[in-house]
Amino acid sequence: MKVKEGFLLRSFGDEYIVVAVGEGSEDFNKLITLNSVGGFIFKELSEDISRDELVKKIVDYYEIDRQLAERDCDSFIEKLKDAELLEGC
Amino acid sequence: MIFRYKIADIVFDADIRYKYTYNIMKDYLVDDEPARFSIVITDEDIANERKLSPNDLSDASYESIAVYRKYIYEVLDKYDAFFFHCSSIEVGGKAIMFTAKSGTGKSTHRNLWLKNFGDKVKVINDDKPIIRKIDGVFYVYGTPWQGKEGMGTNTRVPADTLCFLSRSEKNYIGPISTSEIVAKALNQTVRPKQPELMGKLLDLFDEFLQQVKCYDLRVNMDDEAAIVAYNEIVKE
Repeated sequence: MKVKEGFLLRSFGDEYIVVAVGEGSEDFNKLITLNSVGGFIFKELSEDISRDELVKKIVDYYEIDRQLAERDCDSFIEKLKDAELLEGC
Repeated sequence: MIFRYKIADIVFDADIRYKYTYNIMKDYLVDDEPARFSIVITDEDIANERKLSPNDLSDASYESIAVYRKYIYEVLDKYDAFFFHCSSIEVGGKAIMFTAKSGTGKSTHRNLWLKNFGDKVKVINDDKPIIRKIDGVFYVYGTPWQGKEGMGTNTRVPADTLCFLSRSEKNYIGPISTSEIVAKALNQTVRPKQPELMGKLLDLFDEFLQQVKCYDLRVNMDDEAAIVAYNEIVKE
């Protein structure tokens, strides 16, 4: 799965903002704010990646146990799905 | 007819047809400087503004908004300038901005400052100033688009303080976190569709929000609202 085309991720201090650009910005003019884990996952999702690969990257980067990484990853993916930002999932 | 204007120290030509547009822009006319770009307002532009607008205004009003929209797209890329929806005043050579979505009471609060500190306060622009970065410093510029009460001045003042305004029974001023201000601030500008321009706007906003002092300002409509804000922002 990956994030659809037309979304720009930008950090502001410890926070991240996602904005829509291009044609999609007419339908999606909301802003999404993400914390640093959210920003990390969103960046990884700019290229096609599986859920398990994503969990592994979170475990490696944040040095947390697998269970916690799975929980964070799954809840974040659910949110992206609800906002219809993902494709190929 | 074509007229030459200077807004935020950027000279351009605008081809307009309504007297209304000419009148609101006449403080910004220039004649002896070269224009950097030209804006032509077509029937299509006016129809587009009508489509975007929540109100039912005259074609003349929509023409003037169309000039503004075309201007801000032109100046973002080359001149580090952007639109920021706020009421802005000058106190002691520094610009204080009050931002909030329409209907919150930006002008009402600005009015309380004029009422209580009138001798020290000058309105830069009450609705649609331009913010421009020159040599690393952000300035708040007056523009012809001055809001319902038509208050503003053709001037520029270094940006100092940005208040995120909301209504409340009790008056309060305090700090505000980055996570709150970024989204709120980005909702008070026009966001371009082109990815490169959007990237540019986000870069400018990042720098702008780091440079100005930001406050969470919650106010009622009593004189005390301006006094509480003034005591924190101006008296240091």
